[in-house]
Amino acid sequence: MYHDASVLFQIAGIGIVVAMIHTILKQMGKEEYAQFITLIGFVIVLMIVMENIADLFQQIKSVFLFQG
Amino acid sequence: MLIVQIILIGVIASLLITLLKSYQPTIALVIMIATTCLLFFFVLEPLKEIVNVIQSMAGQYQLDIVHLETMFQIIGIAYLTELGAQLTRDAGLSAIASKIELVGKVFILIVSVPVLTAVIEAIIRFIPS
Repeated sequence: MYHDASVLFQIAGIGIVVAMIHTILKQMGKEEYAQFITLIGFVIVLMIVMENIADLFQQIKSVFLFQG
Repeated sequence: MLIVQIILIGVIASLLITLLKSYQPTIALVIMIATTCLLFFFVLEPLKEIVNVIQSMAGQYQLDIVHLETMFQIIGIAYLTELGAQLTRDAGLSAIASKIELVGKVFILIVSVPVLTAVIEAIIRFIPS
């Protein structure tokens, strides 16, 4: 059940796209849209990582026989 | 091989992190968290076999299961606190990291209380009162 490394590349891709859009919007002078885009990008990335972390902690609980 | 895969994932992730650090430091931190989770998955697979082997051996030779369970829990707590402390320290927040370590130590103490009581009772039984 090895996770492949594609998760990393997805997150990095989203980060790069968000950074580009941010700078482009800043050039066009629309400062607040740039902030929104950065926020939305961060939320998407967080959603992706959230499943990984939840899965990891579930695994740890089963491996180390946690009752608590 | 497995070890090469792990090393490559680590190197590629560090490259991505340094790439993104100047534009989006938060997303770089999220990549760091994702990498640690990924690498931790690789550790969990063999660890599960080790735990099962030790448990089956304990079952065969009628060792005392109670202390074995607490030992595994202590190892798990140590693993988790190490993970959390290192992540927060990498993000630059060493104060929170030391607090996490403190909490981890206290939890290990809490989990090992039954073992302590068992040891003390054993010692008291030896003393001819």
